[in-house]
Amino acid sequence: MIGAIIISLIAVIAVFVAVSSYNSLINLKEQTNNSWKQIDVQLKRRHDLIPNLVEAVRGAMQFERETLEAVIAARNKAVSVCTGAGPANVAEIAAAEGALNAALSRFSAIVEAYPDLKATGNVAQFQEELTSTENRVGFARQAYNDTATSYNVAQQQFPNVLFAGLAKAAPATLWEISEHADREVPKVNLSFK
Amino acid sequence: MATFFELQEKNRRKTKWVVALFVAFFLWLGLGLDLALYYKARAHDRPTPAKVYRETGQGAYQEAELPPGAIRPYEKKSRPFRPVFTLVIGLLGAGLAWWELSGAAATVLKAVRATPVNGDTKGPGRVFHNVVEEMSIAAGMPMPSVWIIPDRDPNAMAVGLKHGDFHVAATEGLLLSLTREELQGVVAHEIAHIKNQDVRLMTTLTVLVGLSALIAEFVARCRYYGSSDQSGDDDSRIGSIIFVIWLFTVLLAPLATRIMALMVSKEREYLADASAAQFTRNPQALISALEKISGAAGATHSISQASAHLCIASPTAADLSDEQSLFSTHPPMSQRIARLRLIGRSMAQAPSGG
Repeated sequence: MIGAIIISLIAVIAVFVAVSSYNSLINLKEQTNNSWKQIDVQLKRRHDLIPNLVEAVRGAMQFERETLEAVIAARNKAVSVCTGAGPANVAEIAAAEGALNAALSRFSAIVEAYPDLKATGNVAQFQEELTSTENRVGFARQAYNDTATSYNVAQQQFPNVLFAGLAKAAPATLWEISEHADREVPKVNLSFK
Repeated sequence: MATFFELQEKNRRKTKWVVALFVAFFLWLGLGLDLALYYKARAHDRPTPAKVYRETGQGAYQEAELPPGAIRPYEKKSRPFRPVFTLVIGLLGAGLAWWELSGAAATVLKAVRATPVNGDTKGPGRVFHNVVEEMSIAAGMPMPSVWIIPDRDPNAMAVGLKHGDFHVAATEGLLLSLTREELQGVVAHEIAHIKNQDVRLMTTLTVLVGLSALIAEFVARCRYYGSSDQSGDDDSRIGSIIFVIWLFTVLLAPLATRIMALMVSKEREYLADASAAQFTRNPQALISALEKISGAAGATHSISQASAHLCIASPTAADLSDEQSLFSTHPPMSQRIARLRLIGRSMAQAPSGG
């Protein structure tokens, strides 16, 4: 009798542990997917914003056609890479976005040098928009990495490791900064006031 | 991962304990009085003569008269326990908390005469709006609405209790005196207050503190207690003991609950600082923001003491001093900065991707 009680008690506890472990894995998977989508949203926002930014300064920068075109080309490349891409394409997207970052930072440095733009006060606003756009992408990426890391850690922990297969949990790829050039985030004016 | 995740977890656990303590305390406020009254009433119950029955055959019984001279056995009435005060105090607490929680955000924002900022605003307001959006992305939160408080003193606050009703407000003084990165730190701190549900918690605790003060006041005015009831009955003695303990806790309650709420408040400030470091990956910026804010030693006049626990720094000038006080809502600046330095060091040791 007591044996039966103990066995059924253990069975109940085992079921409880299994269910909560499964649920927590599913929950984390959902969060990871969600924060991936958040990066997507921010990248798209940046891609939409770049033509406007270029258009805003094009008049004053007649002689910088190359730079402007480089930015637009990098932007178009990034757009085509991003469409329909998932977490599996992290490396590709990161490379395209890295190239876009590099083009933007050259662009931004040149904008600083144009007295016409500075005089109209558009530079400050332009810089602010660019900074915020870069930050949004960066923070979305950071939030994704944080969530994906806790998801990956949870998969390896006991007892979750027993139910990872059942929850179809696979390690999520982190968004690493791959190229050296990427680390040089566009040096935009951060002390903007 | 880095230490700030552990720090957050530790803080959350601690807060859970304090809230549990609060709930238990309020249960005791009602239940203690109910128990005391129950035992007192039972002591006053006159024992009633027991009825005597006589068997009439085939298992049937009939009430019988005792023969003359026999001693009639006595029995005590069984008295049902009715937890009246437990219910009254419980309902009063829940009702007040609900009332306070339902109208809090609008009231606070109206009280500080804040003006809304939208995406089309130019200048410092635009930067502020952008920073709030960036930080809500970093925190994985819905975008709160953004407000500017017309006050020269640098300060910021978070209000809002439920999903879709979150607000972040900063004073004009803050927007003018901080760099963009410092502003990020401050906004991250406020977003963290919302994400960690501090606003809801602190508003509830404020209500509970007020409620316990109300009860203590009420009890202190009722002078009918202390009846010298010297019947050596066990029930009476138990009742008296429970009543004395109850009275003691009730009269100490306002002080105890206030200190408890302030302890929670301080813990939540540390937690919000740690979360801000996580969101910005830049504890140094928050440190220099805090230094600037405490450097501007004036009081934020437009924010009342009642909303102090929602701010980045206490709006009272006296609280900006570095003395560790039991009654301030925020930990001393030097302590907060010291903890942020520690977080900064641990982040430098374990750089995370991203």
